[in-house]
Amino acid sequence: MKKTVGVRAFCKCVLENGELLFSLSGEIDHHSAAYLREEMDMEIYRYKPKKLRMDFSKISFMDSAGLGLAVGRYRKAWALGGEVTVVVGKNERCGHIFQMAGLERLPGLTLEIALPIKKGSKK
Amino acid sequence: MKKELLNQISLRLPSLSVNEGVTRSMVGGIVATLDPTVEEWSDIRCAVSEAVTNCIVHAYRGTVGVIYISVKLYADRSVQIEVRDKGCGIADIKEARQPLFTTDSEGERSGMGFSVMETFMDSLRVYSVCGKGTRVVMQKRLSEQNGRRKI
Repeated sequence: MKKTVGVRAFCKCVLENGELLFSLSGEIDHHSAAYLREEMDMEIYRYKPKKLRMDFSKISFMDSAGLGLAVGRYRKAWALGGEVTVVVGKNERCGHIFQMAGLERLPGLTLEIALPIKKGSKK
Repeated sequence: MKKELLNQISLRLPSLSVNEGVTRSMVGGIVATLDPTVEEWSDIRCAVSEAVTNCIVHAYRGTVGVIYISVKLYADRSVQIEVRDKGCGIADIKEARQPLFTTDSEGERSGMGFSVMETFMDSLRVYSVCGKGTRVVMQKRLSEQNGRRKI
């Protein structure tokens, strides 16, 4: 049985019209990312979606582990022929870090973000 | 001129990943007493989360060691956070601080830890000796308090 001590992050998974949507919430750090990763990969391999949408707009905290989580899932979905959208919206907790990484330069990845550009961001 | 120290805490935690969140709570708790903006408070919590994660993932890889954290609050509203370990140390600090560089081969580490610390804090200093340990010192000066009566 998985130990879930101190994992304060949640992932809701919905499959609709061939699009797989992950709605993330809570705090994404190295600790919780390990659990989220398992759950998300299971669904990606099960459905092999043509479109994957990862919604980070409701998370309360994220550090660079969230970046690794997003990129790791993108790589898996992309390898299976899917296109990926990462949704940030107006969430500054995750937006700044995603901007810093220059995520939108990855092929097949769209970043949906409604924030001004901050220092340290890669254009 | 020596800065006046208002408050400080010292923590000693085992390098278990569950303590990333514990650290954020403790550091967030003491920083909150200075009435930071939400953004300042979030940035500091994120930077310290990165530093502690480095100790867990890299410094004490494959084992569990002690992480030493100290937070000092000064009268000029600056916050100094030190995260120290007795782990494997960093061979090339300059290389380690480069964005996207990581020595993590198996996990999903993005190599952005130091970049995040540098961006979210005003200053970052890294000291390390291979085989002995690493010390990360970060500072951030909070903006002026708004509208509160001084007690």
